[in-house]
Amino acid sequence: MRAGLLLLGLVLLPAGLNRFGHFFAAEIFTWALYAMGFNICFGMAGMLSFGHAAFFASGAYGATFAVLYLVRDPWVALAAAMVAATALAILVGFFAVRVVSHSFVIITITFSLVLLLLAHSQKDVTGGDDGLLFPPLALFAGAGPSLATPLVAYYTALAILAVAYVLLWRLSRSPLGLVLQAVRDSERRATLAGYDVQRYRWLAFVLSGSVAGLAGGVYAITHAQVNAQLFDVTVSVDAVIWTLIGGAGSVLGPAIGAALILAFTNAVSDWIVYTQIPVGILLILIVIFWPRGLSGVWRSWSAGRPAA
Amino acid sequence: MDLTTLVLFQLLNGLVWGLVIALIALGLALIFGIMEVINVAHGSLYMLGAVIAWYVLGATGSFAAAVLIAPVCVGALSMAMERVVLRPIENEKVLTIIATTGVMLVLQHSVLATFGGDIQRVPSPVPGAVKILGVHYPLYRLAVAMTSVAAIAGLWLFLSKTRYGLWLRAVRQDGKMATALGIPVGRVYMLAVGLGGLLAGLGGVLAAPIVVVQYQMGFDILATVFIVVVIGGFGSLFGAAATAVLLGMMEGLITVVATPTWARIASLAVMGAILLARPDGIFRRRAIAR
Repeated sequence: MRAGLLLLGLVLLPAGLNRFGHFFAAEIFTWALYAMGFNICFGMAGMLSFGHAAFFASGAYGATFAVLYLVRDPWVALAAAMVAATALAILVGFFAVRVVSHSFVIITITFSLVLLLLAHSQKDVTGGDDGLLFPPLALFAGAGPSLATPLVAYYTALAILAVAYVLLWRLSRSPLGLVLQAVRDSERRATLAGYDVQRYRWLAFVLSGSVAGLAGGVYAITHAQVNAQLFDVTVSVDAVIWTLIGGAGSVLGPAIGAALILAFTNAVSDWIVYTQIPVGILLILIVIFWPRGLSGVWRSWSAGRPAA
Repeated sequence: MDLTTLVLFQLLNGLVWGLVIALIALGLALIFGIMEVINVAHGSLYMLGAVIAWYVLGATGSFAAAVLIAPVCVGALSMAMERVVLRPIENEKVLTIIATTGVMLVLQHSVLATFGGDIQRVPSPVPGAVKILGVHYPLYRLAVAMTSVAAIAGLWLFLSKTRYGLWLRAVRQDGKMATALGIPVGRVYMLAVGLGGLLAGLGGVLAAPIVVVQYQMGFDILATVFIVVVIGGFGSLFGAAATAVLLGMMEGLITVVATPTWARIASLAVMGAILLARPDGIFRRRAIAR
């Protein structure tokens, strides 16, 4: 119900925004989708990945290659984004889920760092820092409004985000989602209950990577441009920050965290150039005082007990 | 250069760089071994050492002053980080990873705000080269190697011969028992993080004339240092140092036949493979009693 009202508000919102507002909101939806994808891995299955930039970026590049070499259709591009990111997540996950906690953090950082180095060194494929450009796409394979129009980008990104939200919400309440949470809460108990823990971790990792890749695809088709900086460590760290701030315990939490932080940095960017400093301080304060994030605080309030 | 001199040159480079990495990795392993905290801000502490060195060099013109001042500043800052940020959450290991990520953001962007985003170069404080086995090798890099070895030896002496060193080792072995015996565990934690920061800062100062000083330079070494510490066996201090030197020399050797980027990729791949085969590291001894 609440989510429905939120969606209605977002459908009506563009009336109150200018062209930059539309573009910026589409940007927020893209990163919100990325953060929600990240949280399958972190919040649902309990694996802290520091390398999700690799999936976002490989999705963005997968979409771009599909547009450049295959067909100029944004939906084919999105499918290509998911295929690319899923394939990468299957490969990385195969190794990463064999280790837990610290080693998992380090394996995921290492993989994304190798890809970052590769992306910067293979300039003729990736375009390096300058990236790759393509002419803006029309919404339906050469027909319909152009995705370069901020309003079209807004509704496209919103629609994809809404569908992803519904699917992820259902996943979190499905038997599969419950098994993942059981694996997160106690590996030993899940093993004794007969679940193949590593296989479920792998599955969560692949799902997480493919949603992050879809977000990368949305980024590519709405920007008509990608570059090697999408592989940066900072992109991976962003997902962690947004999720922590919004709260890892709910499907929507990471999306809200992304929206809050992006809106905040955009709002103060006129006065403060180095917006990452207050973001870093906020992150430290949240970890110390409200470790369950803003949605955890909000839920405690609405349940009538003090925030833990 | 013929092949043997080239190989020798790259091996020496790898040895020197490996020793610098060893300093930084020792700091990380010290913090992890004692508090079980993965210090994501460790790369930023290394970067801060180099940046402070650049400022000190600008103010005094003396590199020796930079070597003395910068690590102490970084160490003091690390102690403050332990007291303010880590102390309230020292029992929540995942939260400490995220809190130190916040510290990393603050440090990195504070440097960006004051030092700027441009690359700065620190001139080599010891110009000239010596001939080793027919290879002309920069004198400064040899000085770096010797300073690193001296610092590692100093750490070993501190840990094995002083009272605080004994306390550090005691807390590492069994924190609860150490508390019960009246060791001030809080102070030991602070000391461990301070020493870890000191070593990272020293690594930054020594590396400054070899690499370029830039606010993102911490990212370059972070993954390498992490992997070194994991493969060396978390908390096994001198295993981490040995791994760092081996990694440096391996990367140097690969550079003979491939570009530095491919050498880095290859060494990360090898390290990742070792980590998967031996998740507890190659130097880890069996715990005596749990």
